[in-house]
Amino acid sequence: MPANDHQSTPRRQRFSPPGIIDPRLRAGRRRILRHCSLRGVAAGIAIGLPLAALIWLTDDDPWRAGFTSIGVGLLLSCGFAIQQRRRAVPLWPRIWDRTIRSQALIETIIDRQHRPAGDPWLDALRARSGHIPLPDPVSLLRQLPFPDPRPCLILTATAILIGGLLGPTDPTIGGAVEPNSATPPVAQTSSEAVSADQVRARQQRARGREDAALALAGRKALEPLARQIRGLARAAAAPDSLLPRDLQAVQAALQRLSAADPMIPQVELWNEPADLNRQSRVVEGDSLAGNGEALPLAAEPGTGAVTRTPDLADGGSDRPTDPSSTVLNSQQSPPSIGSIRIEGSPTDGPSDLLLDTRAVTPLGEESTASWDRVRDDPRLAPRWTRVIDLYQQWIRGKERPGGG
Amino acid sequence: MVDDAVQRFCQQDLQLREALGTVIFGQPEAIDAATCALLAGGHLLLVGVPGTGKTRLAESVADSTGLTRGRIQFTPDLLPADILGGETLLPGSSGDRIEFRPGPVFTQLLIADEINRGTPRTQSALLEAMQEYSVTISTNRHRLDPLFSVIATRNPIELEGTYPLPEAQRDRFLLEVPLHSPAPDVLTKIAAATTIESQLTATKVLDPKQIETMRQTVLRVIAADSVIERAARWIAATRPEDPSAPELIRRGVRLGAGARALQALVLTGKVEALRCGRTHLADEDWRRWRHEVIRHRLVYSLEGELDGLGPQEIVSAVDRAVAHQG
Repeated sequence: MPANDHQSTPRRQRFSPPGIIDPRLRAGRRRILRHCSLRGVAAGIAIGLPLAALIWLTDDDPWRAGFTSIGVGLLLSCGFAIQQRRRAVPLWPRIWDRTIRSQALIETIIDRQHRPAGDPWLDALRARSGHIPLPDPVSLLRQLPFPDPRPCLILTATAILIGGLLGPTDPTIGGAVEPNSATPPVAQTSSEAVSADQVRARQQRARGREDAALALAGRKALEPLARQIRGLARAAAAPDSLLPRDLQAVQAALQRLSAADPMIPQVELWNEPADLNRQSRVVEGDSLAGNGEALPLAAEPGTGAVTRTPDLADGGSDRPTDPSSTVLNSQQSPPSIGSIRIEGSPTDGPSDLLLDTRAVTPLGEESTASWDRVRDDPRLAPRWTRVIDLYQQWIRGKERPGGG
Repeated sequence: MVDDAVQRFCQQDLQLREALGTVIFGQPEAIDAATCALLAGGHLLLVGVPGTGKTRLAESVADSTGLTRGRIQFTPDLLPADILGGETLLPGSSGDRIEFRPGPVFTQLLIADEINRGTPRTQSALLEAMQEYSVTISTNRHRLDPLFSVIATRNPIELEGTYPLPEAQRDRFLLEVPLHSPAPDVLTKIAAATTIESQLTATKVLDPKQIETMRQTVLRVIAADSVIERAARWIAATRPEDPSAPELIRRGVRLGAGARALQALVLTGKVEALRCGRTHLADEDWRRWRHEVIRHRLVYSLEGELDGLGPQEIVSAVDRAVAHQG
């Protein structure tokens, strides 16, 4: 075999067709095979696009759906490209002939290229190979057109329609939550047939989650939970304490979640610590727990305040305080008051102030701020302002260790 | 040089066809086929009802090419020796001697008129001559002229006193060309041209040497193996026992085309390639005369005969089957 350019490197030699000597013929062959490969890619896309759309729309996990869709598309494209290329390998001389409208000229040249020189007819035929026009892309496209995109687009539209009807309403649901909670394993999901019951259950679950998230809307403390339910964030740790209204919202959310929703245990976590806090905060009886005596409150702030045991007033002294005698530990929980009796003033008789214990918040900034907000309300009667002052004073006294 | 040879071939071929066209009216296909068979070095069977110009065409070919001609009018009492010749005892002064007296087959162009009127025994006398280009008499083998060709005519309608050609005999004809009854306007031309004082004769435009050169040119046409392979696949599909044969062939054909049919396709295809100015064979070339190649080679089954199968249906079915195979 005479030396030619395809022998310049071992790599190129390996991939060059061994039978073709003429570089022009090799160039034409490459062009035809490339076109056929592209045609295969187009066919793969035409088939893969509707499939990918269907997969994308019916899979819960967007990452997995994307990966599968792209994978299917790539696989089909590569497969069809290889198939088309393989089929074109024995046919490329005829394709070239068709392209340049020659009658088996390339085919004959290829067939006779290894015959020894000397026959004038053969030599004349070979000499023509140097003037053969290469197959141009337009002619190739005319002879071997790419697949019609219209069926592909129609199928894709149909797939989108079907996927929109059957698939999850929100493909992101469950996508970002912990793998052991809401989203079943990949293998499990992929093996699941998209039956009508499953689809319906999935839709109900998604709807329930959306409703639950709506129930939590507007509550700042519950925003992490709402995001978690929507699948926009990973599982967040439940706070130590929640406002009663927040608790109500959590319970409402729990009720709205569908029965078999794997999200329920996570929402329950938000409900449990709140329950504990509520038990410790909510006033069970009409008076402070202790020795059963009602706590007398003076009308004047500070004057009527008493400590339940004298020991509490000894905070800071050398004598250790007996903790057993202290019923309420200010460090652990604030005192709960269901009602406070206000001794009557000359103008209006004694009355009971009923405190909405649901509004009582744990100790801290928020608690103080809430009471301040209530106290500064211009609609509040002055005596209730005094009551709040008394209560806050009393609370502050309790906060001091060992003191009242 | 090659281009000159091709150009010369085209020119001479055109001259020959034009010369025949001046005496044969309304049969351009038959003229093309007859010249194709002549230039391909094959034998030609002209089939047609009386008055279609079969014999005239054969005579005109001889006239226009300058080939030496021999003519045999086939009759039922014709014997093989009447065709091939024989050894005769010649008395002489120095003693009697046996001498071979050649028959009409020893010529360049043999016109076998109404060949189906000869008995199969007589018809078979041509088998060796047509295939081997030689005649064996007694123990002596006599070579025929290298340009030897047979143009036979056959009447397909007349049955009394006729004998069908044996399959082996038919297979030796390169092409079977049907001549159709002329249309009224052609009939007018024929009547006008043949009812006058001067005889209508084809002009001699070639000589035997040129015919020989043209035949050699035909043989030099390059045929790619892949093209021949496709022709072979086409021929194979006409055989009922072949897996690629379509249902119509399996049902309606008892004996398909053989190797000689493939040779005929390639040779006539080469002539067509040269007529198109090409030096290599293409699919369109060998497909040009495929009807005429297989027409006389197929033996139909009883079912095929009852269904009235003909070359047209067979060719269409085989074309579809081969195209389906890719």
